[in-house]
Amino acid sequence: MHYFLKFLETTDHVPYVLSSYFVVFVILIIISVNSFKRLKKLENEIVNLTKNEKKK
Amino acid sequence: MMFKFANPNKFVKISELLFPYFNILFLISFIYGLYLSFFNSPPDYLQGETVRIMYIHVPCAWFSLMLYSSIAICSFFSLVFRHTLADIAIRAIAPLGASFTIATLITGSIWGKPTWGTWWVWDARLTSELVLLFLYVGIISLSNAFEQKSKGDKYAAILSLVGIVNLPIIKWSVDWWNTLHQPASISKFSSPSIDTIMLVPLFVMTLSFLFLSLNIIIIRIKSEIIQRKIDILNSSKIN
Amino acid sequence: MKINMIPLIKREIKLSISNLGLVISYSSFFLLSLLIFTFGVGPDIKQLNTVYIPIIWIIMLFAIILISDNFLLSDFQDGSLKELQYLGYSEESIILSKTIVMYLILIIPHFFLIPVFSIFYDISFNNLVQLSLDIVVGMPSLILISLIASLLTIQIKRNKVLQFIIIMPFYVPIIIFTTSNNESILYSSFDLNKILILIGFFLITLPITLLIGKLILNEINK
Repeated sequence: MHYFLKFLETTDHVPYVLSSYFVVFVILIIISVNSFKRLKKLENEIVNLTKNEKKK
Repeated sequence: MMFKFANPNKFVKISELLFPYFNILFLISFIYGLYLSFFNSPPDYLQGETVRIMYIHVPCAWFSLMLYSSIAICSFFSLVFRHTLADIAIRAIAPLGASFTIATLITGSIWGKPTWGTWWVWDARLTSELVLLFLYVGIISLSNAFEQKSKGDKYAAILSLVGIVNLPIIKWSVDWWNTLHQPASISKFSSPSIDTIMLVPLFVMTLSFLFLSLNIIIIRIKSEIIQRKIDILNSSKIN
Repeated sequence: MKINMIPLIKREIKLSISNLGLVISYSSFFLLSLLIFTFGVGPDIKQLNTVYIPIIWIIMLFAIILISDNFLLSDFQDGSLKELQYLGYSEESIILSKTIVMYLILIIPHFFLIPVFSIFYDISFNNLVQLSLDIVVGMPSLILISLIASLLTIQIKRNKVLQFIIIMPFYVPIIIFTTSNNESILYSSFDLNKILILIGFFLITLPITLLIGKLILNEINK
């Protein structure tokens, strides 16, 4: 806790550290969400396709 | 055994078993890594508090290189053994590798400003990382440039094998050219020059990135396998 | 498998001679690009004298990438690439013959261009000899790498810019060494190390190009 409080007190370095963590989180969240959404979309598509095939 | 696990359906079954465990391990290691980075790590005597950027910048750099190596290994299996899963893996891993490379460049740039006084410098390590980004862009563009997916896969595999020459240049460039970038602190052959109290958060964050990468790669490979099944079903409909 | 490359080289030379407009296009592109760079940098000859090496190498790089398509595309489109393989020529000999002829054809305009450089940029005789030798020794590596890019993108009808995107990273080490400013420029002395490094790059790129070219030609002809 002591180190974290000292970190918050150094006002000139805090923006750099927090912005770099933020950038990495945003990039990783974008790629994770994008991959997951694509998987869900494709899973729905193949379920619909196989349903249509079975109907025929 | 290698050929047994190269079966896409077997891979999907194994990955569905492992996915929840990787998720849990990622969450635990990520939260613990963040705690160690901010609460348990002292500031550096030279760099001050900006040393905390190392805990996120260095794992990104390691993964940008590691994922390219895995692409090259998959390319080898794709070209020599003609594993379909290897082709799919290349498509799945490349965008993630490019993301890590972009993250490395941005965090490195942010770290450089307070440490060196400049956002960017054309030294060997930074330049090689930028070149690696263009290699990833080349692989992604080439694999998507062809109407026939198999052709795109093969050409991307060939390009990535040629690009593997770039990786040793990135690793040893710091030793070859005496430039601004910090020399490698962690080496297999000698004891690391950073203290344990900073080494532990670094390795924990690396582990969390590893589990996250494995999760994303599993999701992307599954998507690619399903996409190919859809393409086969659609082409059989047309026929 | 036929190892004799002489018929292949003769064929390539015949095709290139019938298309000599290529040499004129290459030379014109080179001179016009020099002009554009000069307008960008400024008319001060002392300033130009310090930057002529990177300008010349970068223009050469772009020109070779643009021209390399011409040596492959027509053969691919009329099926000659496949036919040559059916006739028993190995993929390596096909690529090697194209490299040799491309080098012979493209080195000719440089005999006229190099004296032009010396006038435009006030290059001393010793530096001119160094530059000429660098071009003679360094050009094969540029040609070999450009052939890989052309082979990879030969089947892509749209988005030819992809060639540049794919291949630029591989030119980085060669450009670093060909344009490295050192004492030899200041003292107009001969730099043997640079020549040896460029020969080294050629010896690295040659087997890689032949191997990769073989893989790509096998894929193209499937």
